[in-house]
Amino acid sequence: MNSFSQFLTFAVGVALGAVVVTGVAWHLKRREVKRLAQLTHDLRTPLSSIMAYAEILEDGVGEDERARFLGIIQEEAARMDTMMGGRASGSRQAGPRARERKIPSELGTVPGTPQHTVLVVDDDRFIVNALRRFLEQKGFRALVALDGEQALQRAREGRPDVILLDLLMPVMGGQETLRRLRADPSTSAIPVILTSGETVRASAQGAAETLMKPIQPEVLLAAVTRVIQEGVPR
Amino acid sequence: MKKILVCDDEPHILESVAYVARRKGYDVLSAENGEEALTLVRQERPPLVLLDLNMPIKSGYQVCEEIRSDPRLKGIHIIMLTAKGQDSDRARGEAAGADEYITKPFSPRKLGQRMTEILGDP
Repeated sequence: MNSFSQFLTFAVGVALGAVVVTGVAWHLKRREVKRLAQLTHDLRTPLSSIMAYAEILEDGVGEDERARFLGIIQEEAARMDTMMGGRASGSRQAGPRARERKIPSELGTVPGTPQHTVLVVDDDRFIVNALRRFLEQKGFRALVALDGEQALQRAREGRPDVILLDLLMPVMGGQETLRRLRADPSTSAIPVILTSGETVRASAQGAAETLMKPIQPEVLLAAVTRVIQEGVPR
Repeated sequence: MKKILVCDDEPHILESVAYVARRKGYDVLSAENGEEALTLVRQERPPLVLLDLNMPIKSGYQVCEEIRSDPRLKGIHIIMLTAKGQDSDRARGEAAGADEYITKPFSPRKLGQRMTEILGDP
C-alpha cells in the first residue's frame, strides 16, 4: 500500500472514530437532558406546595394551621432535597433506641425495584397518601386501605409483607381488624405495626410493634424493615 | 353553596387548593385519582373542576375527555393544573376539552381569584 493509501485509511479511521465519539456523546447528553427535564418536572410539584402554603401563611391562618403548614413546607423542601440527591436532615431524632436500629440496604431501598409490599391502613387519606409516597420512594410497593373491611380485602388479595394499621378508625377499628387478620389463615402470618396517637402495648394487641403519631420517616422505615425481617411475634 | 371538585393525587396540592376554595366559601369535593374524579363529577355536577394531569387509574386528559363527551355534564368549567408546561401539553389539554391550563407552581391567591371570576359568590 502506498503512502497516500495509508494516509487515506488513517484519515477515514479518524473520521469514523470522531463520528462514533460524537454519537455517543450526543446520546449521553440527550439522556442527561432528558433526566434533567424529568427532574425539573418532578420538582415543580413540591415547589408548588411550598409556594402555595407560603402564600396561605402570608394571608394569615390560626396557630394550629400555622404549625401544620410550616411542617408541610419543611417536608416538601426535604423531598426536593432528596430528589436532587441530597440527604435532608429536617426530621427529628427519635431518641437513643432509634440509633440502635439499622436499616438493611437490601430491603426496598432501591427506587424502582420494589421487593416488599406494605399495606397502609388509615381512615385519614392524607396520612395514607403521605405514607404511601414515602414508602414508594424508599422502594417498597405500597397498598392502601381507608377502613378495616378494605384492609382485610387488600391483605387477602395483596399478601403484603407487613401491615401498618391505624388503631382508631370508625366502624371497624384497628383492634377488630387485627383480630380478624389473625383469625384468617391467609393473613394470620402477616406482621402488623399499629399506629396510634396514644401509647399502646403492641404485644397485648397481637401486633409486632406500635408507632406513635406523628410518625417520623426514619422510625417508620426502621420499624417496617425490622418487622419484615422478624415476622409475626410469637 | 357552589361546589368545586379538586382532583390531584398529591395530598398537599389537594389540601392547599381545597383550603383556598373553602376559605372563599365554596363547598369542596376532592378526588385522588381519575376514576374517583369521574364518579364525583357524575354524582355532584360541580360547576368547576380543578384537574391534575398526572393521576393514577385515569389521567386528567382522560377525565376531561369523558366529561366533555357526556351531554349530562355540559357547562362544567375545567381548569387543568399540571407540572407539564410544554406547548404540546397545553395543546393536548385544549384538545381534551379543558377551558384553562395552569402550570405548577401556581399562586393559590390567583387561583382563588379565578374561582371567584368563574363561579361568582359562593
